[in-house]
Amino acid sequence: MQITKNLAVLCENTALDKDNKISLFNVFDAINVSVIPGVYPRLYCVVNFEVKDLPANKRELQAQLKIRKPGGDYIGPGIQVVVPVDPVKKVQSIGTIFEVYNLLFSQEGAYSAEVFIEDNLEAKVNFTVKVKV
Amino acid sequence: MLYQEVSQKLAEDVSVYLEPTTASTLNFIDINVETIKSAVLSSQQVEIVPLLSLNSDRYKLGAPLWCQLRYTEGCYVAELVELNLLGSGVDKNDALDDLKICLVELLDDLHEAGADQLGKEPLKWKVLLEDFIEQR
Repeated sequence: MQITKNLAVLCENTALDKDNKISLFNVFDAINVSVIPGVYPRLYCVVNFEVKDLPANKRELQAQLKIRKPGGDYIGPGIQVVVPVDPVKKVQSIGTIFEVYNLLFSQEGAYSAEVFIEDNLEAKVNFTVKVKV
Repeated sequence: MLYQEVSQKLAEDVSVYLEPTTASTLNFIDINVETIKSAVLSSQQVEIVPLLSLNSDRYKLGAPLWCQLRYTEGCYVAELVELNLLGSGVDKNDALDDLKICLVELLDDLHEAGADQLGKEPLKWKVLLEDFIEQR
């Protein structure tokens, strides 16, 4: 199976219309908190991949979002979603929206939102967390 | 005392939720403005403007020379198509001045070379320019 990243962004909100078109609101790559530890109440990680040569009879893929801290550890267990795929198509586009609530930052620094498809890291969005009063 | 401790603990607990904001270090606005500016300016039609002087103490124009002026790839370009001459600049006047400099250089070259030394194209340029340009 071959996976190519088309899109991976963090944003404050999203909307999906009836024609499956996505709108991304306030795409960002930095979070400013007033104190550390700080909590960011809600963010979205939107990803889209091109998938080629699916294994036979595969009807879904496991997608997981994990937030990596500056030290290298992950915050919590992450979020897992199941993405349906068409086993007949040779090439297809798959996308998912991860909704993250109350993300706790215990330190300033460089974080990354990492997206795994079937346990393989396929996309990474870097962002920084800073204390800004 | 207990109230103070509880109140302080509550204030600490609440403070972590206070006013987090996001920001972007990607400069989308400038990119867009430049793209739009370039697209708008490029879409403008080519202007045909007359050259009325040559900024030269050796040559003067007997009649206006008409050149093309357009905006492309971040600068203005003035062109005398028949002479295969181009001038460029940050604004229209700059481009026209550059074209005049190129034209005067071409005139000098054409005068220095004898008619028998000129190729077919330069000879054509010389004949064309003789109709428009006079020596002071």
